[in-house]
Amino acid sequence: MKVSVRRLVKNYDSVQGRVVALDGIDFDIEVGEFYTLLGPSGCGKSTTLRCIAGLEHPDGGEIIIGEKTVAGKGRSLPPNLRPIGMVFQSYAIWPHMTVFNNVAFPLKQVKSWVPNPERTERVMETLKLVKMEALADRPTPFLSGGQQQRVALARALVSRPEVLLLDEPLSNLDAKLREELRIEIKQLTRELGITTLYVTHDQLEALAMSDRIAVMREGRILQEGTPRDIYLRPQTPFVAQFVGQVNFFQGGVAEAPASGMGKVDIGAGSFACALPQGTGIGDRVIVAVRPENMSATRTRSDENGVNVIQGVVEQAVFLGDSIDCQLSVDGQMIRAKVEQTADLGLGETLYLAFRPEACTVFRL
Amino acid sequence: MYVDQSARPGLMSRLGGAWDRIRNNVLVIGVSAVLVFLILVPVVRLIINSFIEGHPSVPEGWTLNNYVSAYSMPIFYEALATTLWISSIGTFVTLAIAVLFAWLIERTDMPFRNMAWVLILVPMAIPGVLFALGWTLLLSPKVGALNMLLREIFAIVGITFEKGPINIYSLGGLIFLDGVRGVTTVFLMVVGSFRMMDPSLEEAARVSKAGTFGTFMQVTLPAMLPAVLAAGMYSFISSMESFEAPLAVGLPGGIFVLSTLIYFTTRIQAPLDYGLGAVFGVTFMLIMILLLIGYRRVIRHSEKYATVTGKGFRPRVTTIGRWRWPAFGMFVLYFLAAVVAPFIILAWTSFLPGYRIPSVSVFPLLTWSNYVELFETERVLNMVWNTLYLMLVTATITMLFAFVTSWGIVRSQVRGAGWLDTFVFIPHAIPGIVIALALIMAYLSPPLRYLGIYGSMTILVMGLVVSYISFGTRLMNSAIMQIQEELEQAAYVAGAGTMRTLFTITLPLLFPAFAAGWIWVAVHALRSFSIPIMLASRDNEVFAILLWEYWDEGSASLSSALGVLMILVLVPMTLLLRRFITQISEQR
Repeated sequence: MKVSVRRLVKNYDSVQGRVVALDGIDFDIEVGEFYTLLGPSGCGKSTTLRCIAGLEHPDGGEIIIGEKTVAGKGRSLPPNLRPIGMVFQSYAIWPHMTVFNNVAFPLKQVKSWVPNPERTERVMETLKLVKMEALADRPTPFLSGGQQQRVALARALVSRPEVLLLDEPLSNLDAKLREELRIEIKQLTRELGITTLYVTHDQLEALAMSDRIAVMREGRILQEGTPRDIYLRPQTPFVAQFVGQVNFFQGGVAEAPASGMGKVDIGAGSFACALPQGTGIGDRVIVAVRPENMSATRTRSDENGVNVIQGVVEQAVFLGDSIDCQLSVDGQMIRAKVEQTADLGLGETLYLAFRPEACTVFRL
Repeated sequence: MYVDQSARPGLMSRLGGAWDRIRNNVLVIGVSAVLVFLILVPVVRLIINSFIEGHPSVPEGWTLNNYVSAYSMPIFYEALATTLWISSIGTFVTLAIAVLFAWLIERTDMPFRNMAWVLILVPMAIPGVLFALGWTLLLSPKVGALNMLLREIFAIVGITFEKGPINIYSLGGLIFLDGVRGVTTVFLMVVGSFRMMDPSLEEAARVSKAGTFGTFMQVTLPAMLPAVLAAGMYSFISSMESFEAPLAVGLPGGIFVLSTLIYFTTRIQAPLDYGLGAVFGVTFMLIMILLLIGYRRVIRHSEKYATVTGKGFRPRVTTIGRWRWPAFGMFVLYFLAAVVAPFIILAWTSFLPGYRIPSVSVFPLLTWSNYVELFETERVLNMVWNTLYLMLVTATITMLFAFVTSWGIVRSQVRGAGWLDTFVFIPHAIPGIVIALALIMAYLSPPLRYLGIYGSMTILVMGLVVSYISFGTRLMNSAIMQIQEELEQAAYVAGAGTMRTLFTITLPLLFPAFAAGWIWVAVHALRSFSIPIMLASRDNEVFAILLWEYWDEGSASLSSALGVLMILVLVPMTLLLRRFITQISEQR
């Protein structure tokens, strides 16, 4: 089912007064789509998801699942009457039940009642889906984090909900397991064709799993688009820096031709780059360049049309697949990703080169 | 700025939203409404009746005379002063004994410390009234067994007494009973602090060149002070409300406290004066509410201290050297006074046709006949059924109400949850005797008298539920706070409604706490005294009523036999309670 969120508003009353948690959120999730809300903690992504689940009551706006308005005009359908399945950040696996009974629970409720021979079948089938069928009779306190995660997923899917809500489901797992489950969840949701809303603060997760991403900050959506869009064409410095690493250079526009590359003067040099529409000479701008787009050399590259700046190595951290290098450029710290074989010495002067296409320019 | 019109929904949709909320919380709202009714109606009725002349069932109009006459009675001020005096000195005695034992048992190398830990709980199994009755048998001035013994000892050195030398029917006697009685509760309240106190605080003092004594005075005691103070306030409040010893010991000695004054005014004297009783009740209630506000202040303050953490420390044991055995001796003495002596004299009396001073010559008289008589009396069997009913129904209703109310309070589903939290704490400030009086007023006066529950088991259950609901909700509050909210939310998302979630997810998860609360209430209902005595009638005879009637008629033997049987029932229940409490603390 399609999920539509319209002008969603949510306020909290706190000690400091009224806090606006959601300030008019608008988005649509298409049928079968994997949609991710990405943002730092406190940006309202979890609140949005919880409003869709029915666990929070929005103060304004509408939520429509399929054809049905589940929240709007001051009314809010309780969670048990919505066609959803949900995985919580803490998994929320009931410790007083076995794995089987945890997963069977949704099938014992009025709205999604399934009589017994079929219920057992459905539970086992779903457990198989998450590779937990062998542990069906195990009491849940004896499960590892990853296993609990799988049980939670099975429980969310067993009643064949229209919409799957995932609230930072991988944040409590270690890095290795996280990567594994990332792929599994993605595959599972694609096979089932289920509409999925995923909430995370981890940009790698968001990029790897999503069909579309909405980047949120302070109760608003800043940008919505495919992972490629978000990463390659960020619309604000915040999005650029939240999704992936980025270096910012502040400067003034020196040349702004009607077509072709403009020129930005940043003090330590000047860059050729494409300017946003309507930028005029003298405008203050920020030029963003991702570290992996910079190549570092000991001698100045003389390739035509390439931007080059000069920096002194302040720190070099060997990461295995690359070297994370920090350079001081005109008093500013710049990060560059350097080949793993480079043998860098502290205090060494390097030339950083990057193509104009690698630059994104934001107007101030 | 984004202006959202739908953020201000119209009247109809706002009503719809309110209706949604109500529908989703029917259970919480229903239970809260019943509780408000149970608590508020009697209290309001008590206050109203204090301004009304005549018998509650035939009110004769408004008046201030009740207040005028109550506040011009010297005995009222006398009783108030006596109550305060006994409670203050009694609390002081209790605190001294309890804190000393907490320290000796938790932090020193006193012999048999682990055994002492268990033994100090035994007094819980002895109802206050039996404790008092036991001591009157021991220290009644003429025939008290201990007094006889003392007279013989003094005779050896040439001093002779006609009676005494100790008279239990005195202020001193009451203070003694009150002081010894409160030890177990205060011990339990402070022992945790002694156990949990971070030993590194003391070690830091030692390293900073303080001696053993200096460390205790400058670090240990100040760190314990908030806990001790809170326990002291609590003990003082309990002493103020105490009814059993003042009834058994105070009345025969002509000493009134507030609770017995109310009892006397509304149940004994002729003619009964309900208006006067209501004024005493209202006054008593106000005093207790003030005390309780003070208590909550103290507690809030004590929570600021972070010295007592939840970490499992291995407490540092202080060596007390040659004081080890004297310390143990003190504990033995306490245990004799609190448990052994009163129990033995009750047991002794229960095997005799009437009370006799213990001696070898009486042995041939020993008989089972009292017990046989009890088991053959239909009234007693009736009483047993009533008591069981009272226990089961009170414990179940109290804990279910507490569970649902606390859930509403903690999860804040209903607006006004904070208000509800304060509200259910009120009964904690109302002495049992006043709750009972208020219920009498409420269900004797029109219009509620037409319900016909005055004098029934129902009114007894109502009284007990009201007096234990504060305990129940506080226990359930902390239990529910331990349960992660997402566990419940997972159930909603899985399709379960509120009711179903409460009883298939939340209740099973906090079962140990629920069971502990249930047993606690059951134990207290079983041995409840003041409320049954006040509300006694032919159709709702329970243990306390019969016990007191036998005693009052001069049949100490039957009374003792009944008491011994009760203690035998209470001991295993208390041990069961301890098991559940241990289970809860291990879970956390």
